[in-house]
Amino acid sequence: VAADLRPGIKLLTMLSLALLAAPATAQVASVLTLGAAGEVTTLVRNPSVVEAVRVTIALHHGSVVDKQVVLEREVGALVAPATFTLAPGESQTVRIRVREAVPAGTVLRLVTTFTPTAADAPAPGSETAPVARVIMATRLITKVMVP
Amino acid sequence: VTAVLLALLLVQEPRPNTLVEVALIGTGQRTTLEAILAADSVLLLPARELHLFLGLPEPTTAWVPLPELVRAFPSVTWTWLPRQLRLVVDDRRNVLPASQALHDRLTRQARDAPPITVTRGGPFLALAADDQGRQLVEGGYSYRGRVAAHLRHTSTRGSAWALSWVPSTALFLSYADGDQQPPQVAGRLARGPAWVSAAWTPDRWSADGLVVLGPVALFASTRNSFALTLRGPVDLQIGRTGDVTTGRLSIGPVHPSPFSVPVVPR
Repeated sequence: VAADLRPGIKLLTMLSLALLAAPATAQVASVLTLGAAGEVTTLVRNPSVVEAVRVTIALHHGSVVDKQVVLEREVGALVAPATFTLAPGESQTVRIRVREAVPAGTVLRLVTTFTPTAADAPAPGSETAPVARVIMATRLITKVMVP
Repeated sequence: VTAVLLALLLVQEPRPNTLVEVALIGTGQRTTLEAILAADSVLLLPARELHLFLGLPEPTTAWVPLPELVRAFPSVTWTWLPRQLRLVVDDRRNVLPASQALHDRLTRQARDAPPITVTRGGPFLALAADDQGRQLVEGGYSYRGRVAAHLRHTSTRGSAWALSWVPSTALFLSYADGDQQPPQVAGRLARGPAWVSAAWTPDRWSADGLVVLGPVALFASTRNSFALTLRGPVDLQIGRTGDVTTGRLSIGPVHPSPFSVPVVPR
C-alpha cells in the first residue's frame, strides 16, 4: 500500500469500527408505554466492558415525515435522572413523569444520547502536537406510547 | 413588592429534580415521590407525601432530608439505591404507623381464622393410636382452602363433623356438629378497621367485636367485657371484665393487643 494512502485506510478502519461498536455499547428499551399517572420506568444499560459513557435523556413530541422521525418540542416532564454517567457494565433506572396532558394514542419520542466520557478528557498527546480524533456519540430515539 | 417577593419565593423554593420509589418492605406498599437530590447527594423527600405514606403525623416542613429520617427512626433501615432511584424502608419492629396498621390488619385476619389455611385442594386423612387402645381417625376434603369438609371419629368421643366456607380472606363461616357436641354456627368478618366474630349454639351465643380508628381501638364482647386501647409513645388501656375495671400503661416496642382486656391476676 502506498505510504500516502496509509493514514486514510487507518481512518476508514477506525470509523468502521466505531460505527459497528456504537450501537452495541448503548441499550435502552425500544418501546415504552406510559402507565397510570403518566409515569414510566425503564432501565438504561452500558454493556461496554471498557468504555464509560455520559447519558442524557429527554422526552420529545415527534412525527414521522418521509419515513424519518422528526423531533419536535420537548414534553413537559420530569425525567430522573436526565443526565448521568455509566461505568462499563453499569445500569441506571430512569423514571419519567409526564406533567402535561397528552392525548391517548400519541407516540412520544425518548431521546437517549450516549457520549463516551473520553470525550471530556484532552486527547493523548495533544499537549505537544495537534491531534485529530473522532468521538462517536450515539443517539437512540425510541417510542413512548400513550395508551 | 409582591412580584419581587413571589420571585424570591420561586427562587428559594427548591424544585424536584428526581423521582424516587419508596417501598415499605413486607407490606407491598410503594409510592413514587418527586424528590430533590441535592448537589451534596443528600436526598430530600416531600414531607407531606412521605408522612402520609408512612402514616406519620402532619409534618411542619415541606422537605425532609433522608439523614433526618435515619436519626428520627434509628430502628428502621433506610436504604437509598441511587442507581435504582429507590428508597427501601425496612421496619422490622413495626415502629412506623403504616407497618403497625398492616401488622394489626394481619392480626385481625388471623384471629379466629379458618383452621384449614391451605391454598391447594384435595383429600386429607390422618390416623392416630396410643398404647391405651384409643384411636383417632380424621379426614376430609378441602377445595383450595375455600370450602372444606372435616370428619373426625375417636373411639372415646364418637364422631364429629364440620363444614367451613371461606369466600374471602375477610369472611369465614362454619357449621359443626357431632355425637357429643351441640351444633354450632360460627363466623368471623375482618374487613378494614372492623373485626367481628360470633358463635351460636342452641344453648347460648356470643359475639366479639373490634373497631380500630387510627391509634384508638375499641374491643367489646357479649361476655361482659370490653377494652379501650390508645396507642402512642405511652400505650394506655382501660378494660372491664366481669365487675372489675382495670387500667394499664405501657411503653416500649411491645404494644398491647387490642383484643386482650387488661387484668391483674387475683
